[in-house]
Amino acid sequence: MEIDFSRFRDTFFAEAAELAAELDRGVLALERMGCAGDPGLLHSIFRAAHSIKGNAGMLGLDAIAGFTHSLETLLDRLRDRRVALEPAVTAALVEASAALGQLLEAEREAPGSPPAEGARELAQRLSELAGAGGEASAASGGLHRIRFAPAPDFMRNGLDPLLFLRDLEQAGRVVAVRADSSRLPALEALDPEVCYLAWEIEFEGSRAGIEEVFGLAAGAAQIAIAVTVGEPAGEKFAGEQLPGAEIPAPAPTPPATAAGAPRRRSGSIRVDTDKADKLINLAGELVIAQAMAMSILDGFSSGHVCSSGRMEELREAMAVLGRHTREIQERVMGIRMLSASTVFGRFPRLVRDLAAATGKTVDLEIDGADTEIDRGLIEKIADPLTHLVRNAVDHGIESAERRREAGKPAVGRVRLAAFHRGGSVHIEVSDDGRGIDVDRVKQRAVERGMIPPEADLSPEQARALLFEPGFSTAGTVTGLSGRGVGLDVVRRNVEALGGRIRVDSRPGQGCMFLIALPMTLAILDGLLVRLGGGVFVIPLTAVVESVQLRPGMLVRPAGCGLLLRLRGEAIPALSPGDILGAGATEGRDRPTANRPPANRLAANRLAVVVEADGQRAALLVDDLAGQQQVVVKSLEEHYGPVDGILGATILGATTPGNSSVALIIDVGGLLRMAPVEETPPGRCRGNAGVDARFDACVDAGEEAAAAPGVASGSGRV
Amino acid sequence: MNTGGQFLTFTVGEQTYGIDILDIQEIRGGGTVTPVPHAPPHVRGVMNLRGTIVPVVDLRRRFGVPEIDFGRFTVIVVVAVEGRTIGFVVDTVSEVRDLAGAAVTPPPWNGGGERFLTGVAAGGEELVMLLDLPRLIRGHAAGQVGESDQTGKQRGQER
Repeated sequence: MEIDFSRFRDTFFAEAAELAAELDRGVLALERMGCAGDPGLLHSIFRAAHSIKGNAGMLGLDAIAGFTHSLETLLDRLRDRRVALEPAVTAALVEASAALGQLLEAEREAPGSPPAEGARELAQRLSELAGAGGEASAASGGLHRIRFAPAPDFMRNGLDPLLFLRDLEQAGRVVAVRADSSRLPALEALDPEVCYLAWEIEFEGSRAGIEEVFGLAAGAAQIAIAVTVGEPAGEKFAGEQLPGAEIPAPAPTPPATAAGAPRRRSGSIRVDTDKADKLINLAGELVIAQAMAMSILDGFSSGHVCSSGRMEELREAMAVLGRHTREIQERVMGIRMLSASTVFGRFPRLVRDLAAATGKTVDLEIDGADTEIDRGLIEKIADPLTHLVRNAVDHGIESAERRREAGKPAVGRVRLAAFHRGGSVHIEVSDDGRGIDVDRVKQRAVERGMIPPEADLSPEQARALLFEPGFSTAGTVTGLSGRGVGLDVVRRNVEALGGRIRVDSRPGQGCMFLIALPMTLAILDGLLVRLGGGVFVIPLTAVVESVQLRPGMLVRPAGCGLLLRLRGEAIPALSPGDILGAGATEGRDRPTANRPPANRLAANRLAVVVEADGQRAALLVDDLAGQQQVVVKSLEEHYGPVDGILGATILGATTPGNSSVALIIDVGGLLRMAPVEETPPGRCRGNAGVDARFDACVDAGEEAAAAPGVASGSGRV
Repeated sequence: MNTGGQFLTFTVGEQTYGIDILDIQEIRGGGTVTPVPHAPPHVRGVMNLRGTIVPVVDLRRRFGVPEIDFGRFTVIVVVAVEGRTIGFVVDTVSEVRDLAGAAVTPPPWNGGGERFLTGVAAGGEELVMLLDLPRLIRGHAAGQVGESDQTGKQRGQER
């Protein structure tokens, strides 16, 4: 039977990633404990390695199976105390665990790719370490591939191949046996006294042991022994197959789905069983509640009097239905949540490796690993966090001597913490290192021409400069910069997720980066605005404030676009025409239900000041229509991507037929696509219908003071 | 060329068109359509189809037929083709017709620049133009506006 193994691959890699993470955690813990070790821990590490090996073997992923096999062997010996837990051994384990992660990644990205050279050597080392303590395999512990081909008259000479195989089991560990039946003739030609079979055995033990076992058979059989350290052919992994049993042909490694086609990462979700069980229960309740409501309704239609009592019953049934529906919605959203440990899990190793590379001693403290975070966020926040942690260890923490001089403990401390606060997830990356030298930041910014020399910045403002593009690439300011990829990228990534980042620092005491992210990507807090006859949603995280427009606040000086004058600052303004694209405004017609009253006074217009990527803009809108959480729906799935639009949401689903779609504005995208600074004055006039009203604002010459803060919907950290 | 089968027929302007019944997902009365910035003119916008955001294409605009107001019989024919769901605004839905393969001829050679027909069925008194949905759909995705509306308008005026 042909089984298509490719569909198990995703499952394998998802599982293997979890197991490998567990293994890594265990190995690092082992390293910290030193030679004491902990049988329970060793056992759990062993189990993880064993599961990966078994699964990889099943899928024919030879490289991984082989590598984990040598790892498993060593762990097994450690468990049995046949090998002592020496520093050399733990070091090899730590290295092996990292290599395993790389092997898995390589295999997932490019199936069938040959294992790295390093992995092979490492496997050899593991085997040697394992062999060193095992009495049975004292000579040269390791894997041997034995071909045992008895001569045809083997049995006639009174020998039994099976006995040899059994003896072999006594001499060490038989990993796999494969019978070669190619010499087997057709049944009618078969002579029961002739030995047709040959065996290929993967055996772990000393060569001397093998020779001892097969010594008796010498001359009566062809015996070839090859050392195949660390490279057992995974296809022959048959685990506990009985010797001599025919092992089914191995499934070949599944070919890549389509050569050259980019491999998309699988979008599957692994959900805790109890989460799923609760959902299933709730779905059952939902069906019952619905049936109840239905039966009451049936009562109405079958001619019963529509009494107020029955009305009450119906109301109650609907309330139950509503409750269940809401709970299901909440729990379904919960499926998207993962604990922060999924992303924090990688940091103990990162910190350890970095500290080792820089010759520092650094302790990593992790708080709030149980905090639930949207899985979409988790995947995307990992890189910025890695960057911050790397910065902290690399540049924040001082060398041990410096720390002692400064009167601090020699061991540096980096802390990662996650917690929920007010509808958002906060992640802190802090260290007790040298902190940020504000004066040097200022000096650097002046050198780079980012601020005038006479600028008087508060420490907070100065620190904010760190996130400016072009700052950290400076590279020479110790304690500040990464390796070319700057904090500006971190900030951009965080902002792309609808989050905010800021930094706090005390010179000499350390610094702390605080990232605030929305709880989930599937729901966002939005400011609803009326724009060109429709309702649009602006993510609240991008909103700075909204201001009521007074005559004179909008200006259109020659040589630049529309500007909003606000408290002495000129903010580029985008008219509805800029936001909606030429022609879109005239297109919003009959089918649109949301039409604004036609003649609004220009003075009633509002500007929503938004910020993204460090740029501000004022979106001129007709009106604010409220503030609410919206569920983000994909516009791309059936329509396609739209510049400046993040997605869509469904509003006002009061009655089934009356729900309309509102588009969610992608502020960053909008600012990127609108050439705010270069807009020629006449450009927007194409949309005369809408923009004329704003022109009225511009032209009404009276200069009025800005009136900030109508419904200031600031979502800032 | 289409080999016939069951077709949903509907009118856009004077003309009757047909779509393979197997491509039809559902037929809806007109609902709220939200315009989308930068959309080609024949894309009216998007609508909510039970929680999924689906584009709505106005076939009058697409075919260059003068526009009319949405009326009582205006319907949206929702099709599912090539993994995408799309609504077409049509004037009226007529019926489901069984068009035997023999009655269907290849599209006329003077079809102009836009080849979104798979064939022409002579069903009784009128001609039913059978639509090549994949081609028709390709022409409107936001990223790829496809054939210009101009062509359509000209064709409409030629009639």
